[in-house]
Amino acid sequence: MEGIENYIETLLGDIQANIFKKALDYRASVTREVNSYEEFKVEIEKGGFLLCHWDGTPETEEKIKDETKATIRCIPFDGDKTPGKCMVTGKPSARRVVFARAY
Amino acid sequence: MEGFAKECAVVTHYRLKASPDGKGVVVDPEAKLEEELIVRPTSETIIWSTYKNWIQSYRDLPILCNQWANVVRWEMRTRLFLRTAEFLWQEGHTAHATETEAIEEARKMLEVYADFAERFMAVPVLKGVKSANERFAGAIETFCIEALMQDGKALQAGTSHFLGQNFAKAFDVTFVDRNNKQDYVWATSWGVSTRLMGALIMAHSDDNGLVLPPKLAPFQVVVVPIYKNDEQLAAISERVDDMLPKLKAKGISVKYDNNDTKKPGWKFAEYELKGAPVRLAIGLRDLENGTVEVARRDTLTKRR
Repeated sequence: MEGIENYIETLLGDIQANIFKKALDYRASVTREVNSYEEFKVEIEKGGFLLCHWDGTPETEEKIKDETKATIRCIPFDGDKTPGKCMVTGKPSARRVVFARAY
Repeated sequence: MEGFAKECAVVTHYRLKASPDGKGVVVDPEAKLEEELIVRPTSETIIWSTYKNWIQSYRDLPILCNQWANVVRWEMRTRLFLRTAEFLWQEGHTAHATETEAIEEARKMLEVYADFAERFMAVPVLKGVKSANERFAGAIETFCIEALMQDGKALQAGTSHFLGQNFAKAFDVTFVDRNNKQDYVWATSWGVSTRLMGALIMAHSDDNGLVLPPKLAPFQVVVVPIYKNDEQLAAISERVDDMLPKLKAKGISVKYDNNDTKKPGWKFAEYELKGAPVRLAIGLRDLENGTVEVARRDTLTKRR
């Protein structure tokens, strides 16, 4: 009981940090690179963020959406900026983008 | 408005009347509006027609309007907190003399949203730019924060748009720059909504209910007395009355639940459901030992 206010103050900070970390760890555990469209169709069923190469065209994005219900959530500011080949068309891709099924 | 054309609610009548069959009320056909009214899906129309009156020179810039308003986007499939036909949101609209300044503003607001999501809601977000398909109608770039829910689905949690001169051209908002040349203003808009509540709920909750981050919980600590009779309650309350000011002095919000009509077990379950971050339970044994039971909502662990 003595000094409870200091204990609770620290505890609240710990809880705030812990739930953020838990959410961050969960996100990390379901964020992965996917390199082929076949693999993508399997992986998208499991949820999470899929980091994939995309040729930058609305047509390819639309095709992926129609076939898998996944959309490009964003082209992230941070992260890997290594060029590659689009998982669908094989055309050049400037960098990986983030795919997911979304609300 | 065109970007929202397929999801606008349109008011066509202004009155109901008693149903001829005597059951309830029906739309009064006599009360048809001459001009239909479209319930706003976003406030660009009113903001930009106002900016046209307010902005003449570079001295009038930059300008920022921030407001909380309800907007309506007709949805066939609604989902509580995430996709409701009417929702409360916060929207900001700015106008600038230069392109650089407008881009900086849009990026700055994205940082504000990301900071709020991560440091207050405890929801990690990815920051990035939308592809052309997902971009806000009329924007040059849409920046966004994307959260991930516990079921593996993504949730767009906030957006900030660099609008270029598109809206200025659509509403003919021009200004005279420092060199006495006429130009269209550069603009941004940005918003978050009650959808953030959905993000918060879905990111942290468990089978026992909500898990609220301490920084946003309506009360951070709930105190539950455990007693058998009025004397015991009085003794516990005395100890609690001594403790509460110390907690409050630290800026900690506390609720003492001495409601006599509910049992402690019921209260425990109720505050778990409501997501109170910390629960303190004090019984007779604690009074004797000078202790208190501390339970964490996030880990469901207890200690004395």
